[in-house]
Amino acid sequence: MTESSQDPRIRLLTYSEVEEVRGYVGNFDVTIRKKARFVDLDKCTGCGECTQKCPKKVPSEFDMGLGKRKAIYTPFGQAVPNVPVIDKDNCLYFKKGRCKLCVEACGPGAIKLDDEDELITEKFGAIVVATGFQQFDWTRYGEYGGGKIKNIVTGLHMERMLETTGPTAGKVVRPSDGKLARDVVFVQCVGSRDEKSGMPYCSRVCCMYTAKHALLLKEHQPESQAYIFYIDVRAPGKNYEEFYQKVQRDFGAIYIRGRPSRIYERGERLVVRGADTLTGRPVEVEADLVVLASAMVPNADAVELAKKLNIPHDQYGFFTEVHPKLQPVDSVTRGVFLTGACQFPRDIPDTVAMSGAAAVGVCSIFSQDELTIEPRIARVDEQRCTGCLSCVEVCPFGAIETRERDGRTIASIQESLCAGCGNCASTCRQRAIDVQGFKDEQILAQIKAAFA
Amino acid sequence: MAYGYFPGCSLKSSAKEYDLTVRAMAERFGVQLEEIGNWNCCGSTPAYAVSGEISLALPWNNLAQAEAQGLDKVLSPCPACHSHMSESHAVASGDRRLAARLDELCETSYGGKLELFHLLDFLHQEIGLDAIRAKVTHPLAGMRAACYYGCLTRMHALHVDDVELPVKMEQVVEACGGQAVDYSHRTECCGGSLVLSKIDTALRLSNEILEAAGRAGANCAVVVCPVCHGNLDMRQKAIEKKYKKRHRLPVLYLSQVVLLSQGVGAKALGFKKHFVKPGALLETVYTPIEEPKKKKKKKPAAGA
Amino acid sequence: MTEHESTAEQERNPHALRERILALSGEDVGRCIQCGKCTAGCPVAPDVQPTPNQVMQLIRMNDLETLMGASMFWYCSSCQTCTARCPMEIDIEAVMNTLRRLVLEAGGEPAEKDVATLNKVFLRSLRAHGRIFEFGVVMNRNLRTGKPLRDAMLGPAMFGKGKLGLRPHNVRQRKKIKRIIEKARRFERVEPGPPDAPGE
Repeated sequence: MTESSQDPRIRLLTYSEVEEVRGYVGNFDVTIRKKARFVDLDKCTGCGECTQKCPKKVPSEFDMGLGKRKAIYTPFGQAVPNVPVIDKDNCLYFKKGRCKLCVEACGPGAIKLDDEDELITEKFGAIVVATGFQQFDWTRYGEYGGGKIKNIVTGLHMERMLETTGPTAGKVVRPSDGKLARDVVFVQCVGSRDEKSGMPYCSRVCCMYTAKHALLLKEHQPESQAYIFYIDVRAPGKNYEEFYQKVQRDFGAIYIRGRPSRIYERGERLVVRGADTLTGRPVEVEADLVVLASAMVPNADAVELAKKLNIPHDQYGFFTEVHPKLQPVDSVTRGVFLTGACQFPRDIPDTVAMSGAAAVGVCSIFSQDELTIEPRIARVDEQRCTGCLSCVEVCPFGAIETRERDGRTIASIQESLCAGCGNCASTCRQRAIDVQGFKDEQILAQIKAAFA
Repeated sequence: MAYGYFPGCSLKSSAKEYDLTVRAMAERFGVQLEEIGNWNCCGSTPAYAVSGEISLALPWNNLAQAEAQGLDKVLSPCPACHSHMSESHAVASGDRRLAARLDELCETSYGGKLELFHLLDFLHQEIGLDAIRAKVTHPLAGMRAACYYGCLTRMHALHVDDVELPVKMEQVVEACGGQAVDYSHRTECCGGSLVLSKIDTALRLSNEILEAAGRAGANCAVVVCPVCHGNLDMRQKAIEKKYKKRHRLPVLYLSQVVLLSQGVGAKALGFKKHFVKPGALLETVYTPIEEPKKKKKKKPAAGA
Repeated sequence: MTEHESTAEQERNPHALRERILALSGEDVGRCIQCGKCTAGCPVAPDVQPTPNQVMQLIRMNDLETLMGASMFWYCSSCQTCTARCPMEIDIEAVMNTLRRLVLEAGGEPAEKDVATLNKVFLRSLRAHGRIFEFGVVMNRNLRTGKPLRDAMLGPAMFGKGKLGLRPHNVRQRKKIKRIIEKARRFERVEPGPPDAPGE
């Protein structure tokens, strides 16, 4: 991130969101909302005085609520740019109209309390979608306490606790009382591989990060014991299987094959009621802390974004590629590429590889003066078109424009956007649209030949 | 409006006090309960275990009878009866062929027009928490109730409640001025009818429930199922003996709790029929007023 | 196809049991991902073999023979915890119930005698009176399981509390109930014979 922020050919627009995308490959008009951050990017030196002085503390999202942040803050230490933002919902000035301690503290006078959102529209040649994922809301699992039990956390909490510069300085503790956790139970597939919760898929990363957590837990707290309830351990990456075996063999993690049915409190401790399906009996494990491997799910606004970008998504809300094997980073809308977990659960190596592929995809477009397109696109018979424009409504790619011909309005195909799906052709009552190579006569001829 | 009432076999013998207090409670809310005439056993688990048709036909016969009586809502306080009736009832709107077969078996016909209620649904939807609150004359301050749903209640009786984390019983207890403790075993199985065949399993499961309630600081358990009551109350001594642990946890029916908050005394509540005496609990909860005949009402003395 | 051929076909079909369960209960065991959550939550699992998830696998292995001697589904308390929590939304409890019937249909005996005896005694009482006569059921169970003194301590106490009638409630339409039970399709025979010994 730091590197890219210093490259003169890269412009970072942080704390910004895409509002609208128009146009087509090589000519996207993108409207971006630069959200008001109330701190002048150019004036701020990143000294952190304002954060120091801010009196308002709220739970830190980055630390999963395990630590606090201020109302004027940078989300985490390495954040780029190193310029804070004011959280309007919690800032005393915005809520009660007074405080302004940050304004007083800021030497360069970078605080702009009258800052407002800014909309910019610019031209871009290609778009790479890398919006990531969010964690499944495991509190829907009533049998695991429904979110009411403090000492049940997720892998992301564990990640923060194991971080030496994190909220617990690398100690794995019980959130209820801050005491060191001795027995830690990891539960795999919470939400994942669960049709009832709507996610029959495997989240792909949990097996390995859990193995890592079990290893680090033992390293940080040698007196601790990890128990891992799993259904299947999926370790298909380079050196993954070896790592998993090492965690079992050298770090004493106990793997129990079965999905727990209930977790409840017994005094200060938790009881995990699971099964060991390998020996064929139910088991109960007492724990100080339970770590749930909550499923990876698409962002809440993924579908909305898909609409803006004119790209399809699957039943879960993950963005769909053209072909899962042959074109894994291309979306059906040319010039829009997909990478990382916005497309499906991915781990870091896969995401890095995909991102490289997407970047090359962009370069291959930019390196050409002219783009070749598939011949299989729609064509309008201008004589027949009555201008009813039913086709415009059914086109999933926004590829049909209108134009004037002899004083009439008729449909016109934007060739670089058309994917040749044929929706328009089957909708047109005048039979004024055909997909090239798939005209009715051509298809009929093929059928005839087949049955001749 | 009159409600059909299906007590079921247990409420006629081992859970008589449940029957009495449900009736008394309904009366106090101005609800008329009309017992389904000539009702038969719902078949319970044994019928279900042996034959799908018997387990559907037996409740079907009762449903048809209730419909013939001109009733349109039926209350069944036993969750086992309620669940079997609900399953049978579902056939009427689902499987036409099976419905015809059941009509034939029962030599009658059921049109599927009834609306079935378990006690919890009845209290929530038909009586309403506000009405319960309004009737409270003796708020049950001091009651720390471990509401125990058991398995069938949570699966069948709560149309809009959460299967894993139900709240309806707690809400009723709180409406009566009591406090509901949060504990881990609200929806665990007590062993149910296994108590008659595999008693060790049933005692183990019931012991876990009593232990969990005790840990949470409950001074009573509240149930809505005659089987749960049997296992937790009647068998509590056996559990204590087997696990060498003193529970002494009175187990109340929810209907008793509601009446208690209206000042009804121990005698009318049928506490005499309980194995674990709620005497100490009553002292903590409030001083009952009723039973004017007795000159100096000393709490229901221990020992029936 | 002759009947003989169709039986041979059934014998060769490695999915016969799974298909039979699907036809009888509407539940496809093939959906099971063997996560073990059913076993983990089963209140009787510590006391039974095979465990619920193993039963699911035995069905997929088409192993009726092992299931004939399995205690799981006889022991099942029908609490439906497995069903409520199955991530694949299989009504496991319905599968267990279907297996009981399948075993009886195949001429097997319940692997849990006490449970089967109780079921029998219960149904007999029901058939005789139209309602359950608890005292009779308990006495009969004791006689038949050879443990005459079981719950003997509870009896007098219950009686004293008016919780146990010594006389059964007879429903007026009990002849009809008897007819329903006799006409209904079932796999277990409810033995005819004298009604419950005590009380009559």
